[in-house]
Amino acid sequence: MTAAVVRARTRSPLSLALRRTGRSWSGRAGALILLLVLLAGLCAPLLAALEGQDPHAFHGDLVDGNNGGNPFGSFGGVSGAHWFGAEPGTGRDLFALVVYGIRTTVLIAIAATVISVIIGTTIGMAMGYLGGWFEATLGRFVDFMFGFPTLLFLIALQLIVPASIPKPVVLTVVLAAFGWVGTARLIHTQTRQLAAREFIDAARASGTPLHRVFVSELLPNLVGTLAVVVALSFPATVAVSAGLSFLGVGLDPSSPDLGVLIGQSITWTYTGADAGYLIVPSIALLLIILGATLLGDALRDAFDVRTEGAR
Amino acid sequence: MAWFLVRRLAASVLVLLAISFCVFLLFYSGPSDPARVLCGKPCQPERLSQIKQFMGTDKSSIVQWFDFVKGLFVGRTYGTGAEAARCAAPCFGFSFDQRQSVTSLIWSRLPITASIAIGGAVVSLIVGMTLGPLAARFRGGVLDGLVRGGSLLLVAMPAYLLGLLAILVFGFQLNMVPVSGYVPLTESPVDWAWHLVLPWCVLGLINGAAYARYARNQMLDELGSDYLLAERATGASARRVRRTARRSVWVPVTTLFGIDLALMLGGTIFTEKVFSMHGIGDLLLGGVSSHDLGIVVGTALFGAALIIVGNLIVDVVQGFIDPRVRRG
Repeated sequence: MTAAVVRARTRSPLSLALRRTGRSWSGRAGALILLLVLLAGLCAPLLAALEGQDPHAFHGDLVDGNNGGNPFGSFGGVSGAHWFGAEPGTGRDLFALVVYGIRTTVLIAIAATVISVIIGTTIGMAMGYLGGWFEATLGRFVDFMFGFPTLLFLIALQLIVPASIPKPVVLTVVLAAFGWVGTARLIHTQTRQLAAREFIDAARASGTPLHRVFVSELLPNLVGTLAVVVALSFPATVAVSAGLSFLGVGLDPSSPDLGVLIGQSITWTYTGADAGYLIVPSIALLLIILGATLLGDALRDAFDVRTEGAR
Repeated sequence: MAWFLVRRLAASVLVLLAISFCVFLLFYSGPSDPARVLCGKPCQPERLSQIKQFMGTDKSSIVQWFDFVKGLFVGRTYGTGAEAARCAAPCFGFSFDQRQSVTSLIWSRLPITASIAIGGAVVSLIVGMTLGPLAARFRGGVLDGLVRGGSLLLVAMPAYLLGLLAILVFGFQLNMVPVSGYVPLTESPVDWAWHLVLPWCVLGLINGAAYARYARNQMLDELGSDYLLAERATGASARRVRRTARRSVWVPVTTLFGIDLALMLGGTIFTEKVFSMHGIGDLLLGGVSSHDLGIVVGTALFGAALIIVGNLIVDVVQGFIDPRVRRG
């Protein structure tokens, strides 16, 4: 029998799962929200140009120096020229700041997620496939890292990082360095199940080189898990990255970033004056996290991956 | 049981030693020189070496680690003569900036962080274990929908965001509760609680949402299990069956709770910043901005110790409940 005869119309498990995701309510809503916010971030320069503003320009004329630097006008100085109003104190354009802020936050989170997922997948696969003392030792380490006060050490690390390295790079690297643990745990469990299957035995017996087993035998079977891992670790990374900038130990206070903006809005929130400055970046941040979480939940249901072990 | 305890305790001590070792290698051989920070600018070389000797940073980082571990058990003295600084037994390092041991600094901040964390944990447990099983009871109903939607939103919401929004609404728009500051429990219990209402609710809602989600799904799993079907078949009422199910949901939730309580030290950093309370998180942030390596390393290691102790307690409690854990 030749291959051509049996080529019936079948769908791969991957495309079936993606279809299931696309049909679910949370999958659609999540993907839509995420897409819109990501687009806004990636097209930040375009959007700001469309509004005719730029995020770095100070507008002293927009804020009331006699009133603690609050913007003139209602809703934080919303007008035709400044769609979301102005930043208190400096008078920078809030719309431009927010779209550029989304861009910074999202790009850092994407980079950190990609790196941490690659590290976590490699370690998880190696643990599950190689087994033995390697698995036992690393397993202990991963278990330990899982309950680790990561946030405290992310903050502490800021002290010893040389000032010559750009802050976004530092942030990306430290986020990735601590972010891979959940991925490794999940991939490890899945690989261990796969490693016991016959096709892996066959590959091993026929002398397939290790990297080939990883890339062409294991990896295609982990695609579903990977999709879930990415969709769930991305929002977590966004939250931590914005959180660090919020605490003042992430990006520089002058860079347009959602975490920085929200952190700076504390002062203005305490004066009880300008709510818009807090609410606009907050909604943007919330939408990114919510969208990715919704999509992640839908993917998890569709691929039927259990993630209890890795929050 | 005794053997199990000894083994767990030994493992915890080993882990702590390993972390502190890595931290020392990383932090005390890094480019940030604490002596130089203290020396200021301009800094004469003689003065610098004097300061280094005083701080003990003239030695290699491994020796410094030994000194640190020794200080944890028997305390240590920095420098000699008139300006010597004594750091008593569990010595987590010394802040030369504030001329105080890190232990005493942590000790003075601990009540604040503990108040926030424990109160928040209690609220979250109440919220989760009330709403979760209720949502499972009325599955598919309005309450279930609210719990599921609400928990989705709250799980996605960073704690600092909810905190700031709460300040905005309940503090400034409605003027109901104080939005910042901490009043010691010993000074006025009522004021203490009143100042903590917002932080507790914020932390409680965010963590409670996760518990509620977990408890709901766990409850539904349990209700569908064979042993409960068997109980039902013996003629037990639906109410009784639900009680049995609820009991088995408590076990994994308490495990989660124990770990979360220990991890809350990290979580309270945001709450402390949002509500301007000067707890341990604030101490750490202050240490970073004033380049005080002693404070930063000491607080981070204290946080790690707290989590390891928390895990130990969870293990022991589970060992009491479930004999299988003892052998594992």
